[in-house]
Amino acid sequence: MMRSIRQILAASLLGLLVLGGACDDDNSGDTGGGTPATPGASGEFPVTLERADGKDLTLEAAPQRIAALSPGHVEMLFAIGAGDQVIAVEQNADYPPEAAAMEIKLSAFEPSAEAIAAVDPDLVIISNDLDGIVAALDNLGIPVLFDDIDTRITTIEEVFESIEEMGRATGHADEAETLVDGLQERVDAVVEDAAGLDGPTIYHELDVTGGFFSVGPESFVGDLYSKLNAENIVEAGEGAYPSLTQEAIIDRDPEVILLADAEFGQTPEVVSARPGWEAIAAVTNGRVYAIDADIYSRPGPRIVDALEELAGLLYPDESSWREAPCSACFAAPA
Amino acid sequence: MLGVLRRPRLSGVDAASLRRPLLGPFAFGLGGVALIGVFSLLWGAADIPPMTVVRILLYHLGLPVEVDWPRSWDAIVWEVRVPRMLLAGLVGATLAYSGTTYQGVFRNPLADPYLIGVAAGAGLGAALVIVSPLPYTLGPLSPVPAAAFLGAMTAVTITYLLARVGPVVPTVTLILAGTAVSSVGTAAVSYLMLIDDNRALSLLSWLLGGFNTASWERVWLLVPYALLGGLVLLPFGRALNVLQLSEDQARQLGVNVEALKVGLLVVASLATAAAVAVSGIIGFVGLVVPHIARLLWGPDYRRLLPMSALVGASFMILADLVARSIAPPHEIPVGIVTAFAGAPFFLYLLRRQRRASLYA
Repeated sequence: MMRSIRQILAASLLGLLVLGGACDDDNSGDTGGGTPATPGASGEFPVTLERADGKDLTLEAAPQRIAALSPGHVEMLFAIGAGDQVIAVEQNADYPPEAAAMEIKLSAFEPSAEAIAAVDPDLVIISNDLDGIVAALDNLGIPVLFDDIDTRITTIEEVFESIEEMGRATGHADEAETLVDGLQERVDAVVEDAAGLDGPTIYHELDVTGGFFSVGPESFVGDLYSKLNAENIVEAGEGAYPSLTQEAIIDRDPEVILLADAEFGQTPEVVSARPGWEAIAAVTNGRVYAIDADIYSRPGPRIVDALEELAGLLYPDESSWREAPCSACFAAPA
Repeated sequence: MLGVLRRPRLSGVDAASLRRPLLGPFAFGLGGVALIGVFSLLWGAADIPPMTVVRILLYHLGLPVEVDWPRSWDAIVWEVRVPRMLLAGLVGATLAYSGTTYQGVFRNPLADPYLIGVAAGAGLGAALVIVSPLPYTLGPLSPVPAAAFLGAMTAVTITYLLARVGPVVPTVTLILAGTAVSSVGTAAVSYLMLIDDNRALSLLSWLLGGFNTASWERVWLLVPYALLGGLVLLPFGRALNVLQLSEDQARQLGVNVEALKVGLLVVASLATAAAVAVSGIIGFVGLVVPHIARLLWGPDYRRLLPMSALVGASFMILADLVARSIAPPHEIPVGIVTAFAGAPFFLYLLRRQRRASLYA
């Protein structure tokens, strides 16, 4: 367990962002894998893409054997119709069902250059350079698109940029653009509706085993709350994924609590019964909600589903919001 | 053997100091702990005036104080800060007196309470629950501390059985068996983390240890083990002194060395397992606090045991105060503080005292 600090930090970040488990709804919303894939993708090749490490990647032709090593990228690829070009996915990629059903699973947490090379990919898409995997794949001559969506991005729009990048890389630039336009439209509609509203203060819980891990405004999850005019108890400058001290949470007295760790036992009932938490407005008013970490913690197209569901949870009196897509996953809150 | 503490000659301790009552330094230490404990309650991420903190405390102690503070302050002081301080103090004391006992039994200054597998076993127990589909919380009691405790005791038992040679348990085999068991446990934890990387963060943050999730419930879970361990070990100061002679000499003095060693290790391991179960694996305290006490009050175990418990409690309370209030609203792992603050202080004492006789 005495791993280097670098590994611990990387592992923590990875753990933060792929808090998994399946949400067994078959409601694919209008962003999921329902789009039929277009085989023989067209688009402009060769294409040159900039990687997160500053290097350029040039693809001569549309890749046909993609290994996607992050659940977010997998969702993007299937949503833009590049699903047929994917041959291997990250082991936590459980959406859409076609991705979950894939036989070849790879680990992004302990990435193995050998295991990746063994599936003979013509493009590896990776979000986290753990254990020097990017350099290892470079050495093997395997094209790697290092798109750092896990740690770098701070807004939903950057998720969209990543979708467009996936479009350029796979020859589905047009589908990606159409998808992003639709998603942006939905985001704009929510932002517009929320503009005049006085949002509640919120606390978003990622995990609580060893500390109270939350999200700050400088994270794409935190951006959901900024867009909805809600006030995060984690202020700007206090970190993207801070570990909060318990008394700060009680002191800052959130009006709504959102639990991304509900499926690991931290249900609204359990959280409301935590010693000292009875003094928090969210607990007093019964506004503690379970949310689906797979949708809320994953930088992918479904983040807009999260935004719309959140709008309904934060503003229960505003009936104009679209019915939330995954709310059936959990019992309706009290 | 490399690193084994050779017998500190009892002649180095003057006869008068052995006879001197322990009450003086003990009362001083106890007062220190109480002072540091109350003092630590005055600070935190929430900005509560110190006088209000004191009045909230008095109110909960049953004194007629008019309630004029918000409910959240009451919760912060009485449900968060107080149990946190008590838990940190108890864990610090337990790790320190266990560390002292281990160092005494193994006659090895590098011994710490995790030496024979407690930490690795607890980590594996906790890991199994964290990666299992079991919910973390079953009713009011989380299964994680129970699993960690069971894991720790299992690991220590395996170590003991492996190390036993006929009727005796040589300390060298015990250390080697402990190292082997720890390695297996650590490897298993790493493997679980690898196959269930979803829970890697939970597991890592549990392993790093801390008091952020402290509650009265956890305090009450630990109290019986911590107190019982302390009370049982305390009278064995003299026996530990004798044990610092060679084992043969101790036998000649009529000490049942085998029974003594095993008994002391069982009690210390039990208490350590309980501490680890409620707070995770906090390093450094069990290793260095006994040495700090030794540098301050000399090598007599009758004094070392109570004094390292008190120093351990004070040290951990202060470390936790730093961990929870140095960068509000953030919490930093207390193990980082104990290492950062403890090591320089220890080195300072070591250089200042230069009491070579303690380790010669």
